[in-house]
Amino acid sequence: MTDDFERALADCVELVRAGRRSIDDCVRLYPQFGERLRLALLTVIGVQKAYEGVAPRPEFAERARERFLVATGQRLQEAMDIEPSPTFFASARVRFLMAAQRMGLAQRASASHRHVPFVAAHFRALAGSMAAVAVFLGAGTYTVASADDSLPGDWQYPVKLQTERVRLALTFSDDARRDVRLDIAEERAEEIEQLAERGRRITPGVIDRLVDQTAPLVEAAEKGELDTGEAARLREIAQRQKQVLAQVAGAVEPETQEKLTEAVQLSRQAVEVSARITANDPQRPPQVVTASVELTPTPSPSPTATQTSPATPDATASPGTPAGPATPVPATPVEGLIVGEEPVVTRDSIKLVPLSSGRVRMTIPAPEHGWSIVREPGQSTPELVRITNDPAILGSHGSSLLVISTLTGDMYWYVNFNGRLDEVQMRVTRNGKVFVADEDVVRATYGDLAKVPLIVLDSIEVIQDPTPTPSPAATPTAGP
Amino acid sequence: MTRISSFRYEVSGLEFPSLQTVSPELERATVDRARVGDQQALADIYDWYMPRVYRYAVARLGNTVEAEDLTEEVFLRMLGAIGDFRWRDVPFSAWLFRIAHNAIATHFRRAAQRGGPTTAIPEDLIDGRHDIEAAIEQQITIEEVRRAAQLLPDAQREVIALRFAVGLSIADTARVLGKREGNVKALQHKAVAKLQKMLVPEKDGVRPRVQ
Repeated sequence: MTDDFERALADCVELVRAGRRSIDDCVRLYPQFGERLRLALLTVIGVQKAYEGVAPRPEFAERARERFLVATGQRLQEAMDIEPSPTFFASARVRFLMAAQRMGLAQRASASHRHVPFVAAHFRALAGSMAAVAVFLGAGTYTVASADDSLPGDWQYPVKLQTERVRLALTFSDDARRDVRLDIAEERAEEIEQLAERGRRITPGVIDRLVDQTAPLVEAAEKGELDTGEAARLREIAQRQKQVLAQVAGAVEPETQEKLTEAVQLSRQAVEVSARITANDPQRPPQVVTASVELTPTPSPSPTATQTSPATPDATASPGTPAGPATPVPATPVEGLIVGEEPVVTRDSIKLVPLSSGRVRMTIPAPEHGWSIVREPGQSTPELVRITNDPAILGSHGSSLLVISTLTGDMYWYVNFNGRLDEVQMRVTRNGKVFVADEDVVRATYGDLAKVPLIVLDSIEVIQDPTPTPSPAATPTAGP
Repeated sequence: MTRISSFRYEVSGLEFPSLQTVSPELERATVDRARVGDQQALADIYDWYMPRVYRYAVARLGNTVEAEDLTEEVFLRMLGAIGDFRWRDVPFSAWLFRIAHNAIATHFRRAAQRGGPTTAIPEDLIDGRHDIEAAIEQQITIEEVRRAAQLLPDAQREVIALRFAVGLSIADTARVLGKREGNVKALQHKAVAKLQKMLVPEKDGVRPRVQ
């Protein structure tokens, strides 16, 4: 009898739980147990309902989930270090096909009237079936690894973002969290760069993420929470962001433009605040400020001369004063070193006289402002023009030495800043491209000391080599 | 009959609460992806099963703090073992709760070695409601169930946890516990009979309070 009741109860629990019978049905099914069965079933429902109210605390659930995800990532990493899965290559191919399919669909959507070639249609069908195969083969094995390289719009991109969130959530010390945030902010800049390189669309969301993930760092910097090392890194990242944003500025759609302006503003703010922190730290070592802004050549009136201008030409020019020299750029290199006697222009209350030598032409402060040319004896056309504002060169705070190549126009500024000698790469030619220092960095770091170097930088013009060669440095100048 | 109708009212509905599960096909596909290390699949499995593993841990341990620790441990153990999971042996849920069952056995063994009590009575056992006093008057509370379950022999408590906190079938419960189905049915019957005595109203219509 007991055995029978056990079975009846077990059967009825299953039937009622599956919704196939009501309690009354069950009691009718086993009339010999009647109310005894009914009460037992009611007990079971009551107990189960009570248990259903048991739920993990949301804070626990969230944290535990993140810890679990990190554990899965670590396990995956370990597995990959040992032996790549043979399905990897298959799945990489499938991912390629899927991307191709998506591009095909996007094109079809944008030009639906176009005839879809027979082969392309079959290609898409193939890609679709390969996607199914991918699931079967375990294409996801490398999801995390390949997600790291994914870009906005990629199917794995959400995984990348989630991984970042997990990284942040699992980092507890403020220092370490800032490191992670810096990594993330850098990644956003790199993504935009890569999207641009591949000619892919940069949506407002992409820019938004960069802003959202840079803003906390700027805030921390402004509150004085960053140490010099962190500030230096933020400065580098923000410089890169600025450059990337400038590169894509012409290519984004109008709806993105507003976000882009906001992002540029934030990056400039980041550059300024971080540069201030690094400059003013009394413990900091001497630093090298690298030239990070690529200079875009502007069309020149002379076919043999290239007139260049910094990325932010309006920042230094006073209203009404021309940025360049008044006379046309000579088409041929200048022998010797020719310095004008009379000031040709005044900028920021500094009178400027022209200087020409070799392939370069520029304006330098008139002697009355305390700047002088260091003469190189025995050379009619020096390789380098040196200009300094202190006879006891670089001996005390504020003393500067500007060094300009007469071949390339490259310019280095050495400055004594609170007893430390910094090198600022104002203008550097790399692989045929000209990079100049980030003006925001230079101004934020050196304040008024940067005035003259920036004016000189702004005025540098280089005569283009008439014979096209890959490296201008390898071409000898005309003259003895 | 009065007491039955009043109890019928108290459990507010005669259907079993739904146990959130996914279709067997989806579960199978997901587990297969998880076996080769797909992180998204592992995350899905975690999301589907974590609440049930936690509920099981609470049912067994009667202590939310230890239940949280144990829940995490179960999933880490699962991560280490899922590569070896084979469908031909057991259903995935039975396999997972076997891990949970073993983790709890280890927990009890360690606690016994330390000599401390294994199930401290917490004040914060979650039952999803704030007005406990009012709730007790209306239906069986988790606190009552928990206290009642503590009075059951361990084997019965285990069956109750797997059957009614987790929602496993008789067959899967038997697989988890390594027992025969008939044995599980018998344990279920004994447990339900005892719980009924402790939780369901007597003739005067007043439900005995489990102390």
